[in-house]
Amino acid sequence: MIRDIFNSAPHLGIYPTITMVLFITIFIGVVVWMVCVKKPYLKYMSELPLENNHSAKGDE
Amino acid sequence: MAVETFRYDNKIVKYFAYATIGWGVVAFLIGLTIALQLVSPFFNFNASFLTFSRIRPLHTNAAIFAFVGNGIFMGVYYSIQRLLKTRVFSDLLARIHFWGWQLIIVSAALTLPLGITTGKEYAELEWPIDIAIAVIWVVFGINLVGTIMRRRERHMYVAIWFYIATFFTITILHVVNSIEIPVSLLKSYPVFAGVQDALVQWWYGHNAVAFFLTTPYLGLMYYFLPKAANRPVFSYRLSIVHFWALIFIYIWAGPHHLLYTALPDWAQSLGTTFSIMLIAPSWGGMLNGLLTLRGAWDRVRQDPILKFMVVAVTAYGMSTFEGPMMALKNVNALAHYTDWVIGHAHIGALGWNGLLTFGILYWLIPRLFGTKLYSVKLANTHFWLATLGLIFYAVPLYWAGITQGLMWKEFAADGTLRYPNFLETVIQIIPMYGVRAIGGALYLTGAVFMVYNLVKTIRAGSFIEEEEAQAPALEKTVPVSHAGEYRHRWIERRPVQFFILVIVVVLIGGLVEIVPMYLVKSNIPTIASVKPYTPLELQGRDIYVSEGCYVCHSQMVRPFRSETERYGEYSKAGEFVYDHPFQWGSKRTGPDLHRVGGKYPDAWHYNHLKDPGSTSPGSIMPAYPWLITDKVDWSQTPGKIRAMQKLGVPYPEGYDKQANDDLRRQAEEIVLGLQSMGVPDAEWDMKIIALIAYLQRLGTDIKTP
Repeated sequence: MIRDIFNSAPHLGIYPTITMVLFITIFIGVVVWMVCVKKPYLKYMSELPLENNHSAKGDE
Repeated sequence: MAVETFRYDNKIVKYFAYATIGWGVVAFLIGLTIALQLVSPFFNFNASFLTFSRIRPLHTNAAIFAFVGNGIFMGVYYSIQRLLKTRVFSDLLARIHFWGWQLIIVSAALTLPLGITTGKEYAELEWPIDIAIAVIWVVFGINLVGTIMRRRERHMYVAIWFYIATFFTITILHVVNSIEIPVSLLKSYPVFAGVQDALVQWWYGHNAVAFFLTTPYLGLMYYFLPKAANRPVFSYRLSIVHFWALIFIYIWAGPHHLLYTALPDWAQSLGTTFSIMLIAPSWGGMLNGLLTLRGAWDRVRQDPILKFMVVAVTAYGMSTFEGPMMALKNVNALAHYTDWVIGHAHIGALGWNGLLTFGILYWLIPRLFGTKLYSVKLANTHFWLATLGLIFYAVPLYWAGITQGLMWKEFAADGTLRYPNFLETVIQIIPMYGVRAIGGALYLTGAVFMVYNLVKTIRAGSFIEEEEAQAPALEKTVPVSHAGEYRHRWIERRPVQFFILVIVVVLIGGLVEIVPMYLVKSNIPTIASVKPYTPLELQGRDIYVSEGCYVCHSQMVRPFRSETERYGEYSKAGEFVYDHPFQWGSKRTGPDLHRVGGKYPDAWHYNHLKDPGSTSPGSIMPAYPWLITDKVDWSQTPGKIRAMQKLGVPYPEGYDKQANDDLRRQAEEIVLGLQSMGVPDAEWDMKIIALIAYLQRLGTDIKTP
């Protein structure tokens, strides 16, 4: 489908190829990144907003 | 490592909180006013500065930039200090940011009702205000980046990623979409014309939704939802994918606002494809938000803050599913130009932005004032009013939109349009406009309850201006990664690399769309018979823009039989090459005007603009009597011609000097014609004459008999 889209715009040359490569590279990059993330780090990061949590009076 | 003691600045958070509350009520009130005007134009009280076409842009600007904008800054200043364990970079810059932003809002409130506008949706403010926005936005950016650079927490939590993407992308969007040539202190022409202007505008318009109404609020969701629920986000892994996929895909989807228009097909298909892909990251984010509450749903029943947040995140999910559906060409063919779009936009604005802001305010204000919320019961009442208001707002508009869309397309057995008179399709849906206004009133009432509740809360507490905190200073050297450490830290703990990657990621989509439009000349086939506007038509066009006619009238006949039957030949890209700015519009509260030229006599337009009911009984179009009393400022004609010449419009050399002679000659011809048609009091320099000249020119360059 993507190829059809670019084919319908003539004379774009290397331009769509570059963008497709970038697109795929970034997506693979994010997936690899996500897979490589380790659990202790995720736990640390996800608890960042909860540090120094101060509650409103009367919430307890 | 020695522990350092420092103080958080709560004052700037309080300022922005007050601003979002105040402007929110104003935005809702203007919204209710214009909703009532669609039931009956009586509600503009015959005042030019209260007329729908002028204050509808004020409503959208107030909702987006004043209510949501101040809400963003409130949440950002509160959360970055705590997430990065440091005080905001500069108190002075924060104050300049606050007061500068409020001045911009006030200047919008002063200019838009007076008809001072660029005529580009959500970017209506004129060039001096555009410059002010850029300056103040950069001040915010310096404070954001500065705070990040002097943080005590090495890792940047995902909320901050969203803030960073917001800052950089909005900067790019605003600058590119605001490139314009000033004609006078309060008038400018965009450098882009026609199709290119439309593409740039909707690249901006769509991504303003993405990077002003969505990404910063996702940042707020990732910070305040875990805070309110007192539990970490469901999946931090998912939030990584959510962020990168969202900012990367969103930027490509802008052309879905221009389906079936004169935009080249490849760009339309690109917009649709990426819109469908957007469902994945959007729903990933929504589920991440909702699942954060797993095991805490019993608290959602009790706690109005969590209720607001749950419905907000659900509304986000609804509108991000609906959006891609509306970007399908077959759905768009029905939905576009109808009230369905308005309903969709308000699920996002009232549901996602509004309810999340309310939830955050109910959580934040008691903490800033060291007290508890004055009345939980009242907050619960507000929740139900807001939720019901949202339903009463959106459902009638879906109904109205689909009804009207179908009526526009319906043919009778003999092959003619079933509803050839556009007005019939408007009168059909006026009751729905009435119910929508009730929805808006409920929503506004809820907000007033909130103001009362928060004022009582504030009075009961005492403001904690500075909040003391402690954290060890950040080590200067970054520990070397070793086995078992986490590779992605390479980017995430180095802000500069992170900034660059974000910019690259958001630029790719924009460049893919916009660069080919300039490189490939064949994208806009030129049409020999399309000529520049005459000076009188040019002045008339500026009046069309100034009065905000585009708010209710499109200038884009789509290639459907139902539209060519109703309006005439479908619009071609080459017809708009001299349109600075383009005026395709996005909503048909009234009929399309691209082929209106020559359709009615001049006297019809004169009477119609003076009193629409006289020519179209039952019309909800407001009257524009000031077009008869106000004069055209023809002293500006030479300057306007010169500006157009600079933009490449082929007026002959030195034409600016004779333009006013031509203007007067054409105006006097129209006046003579009007006199012969029973309008004796017309004069050549009335604004209405210029506007009639423009309307009669519209679409006639290639008009087929």
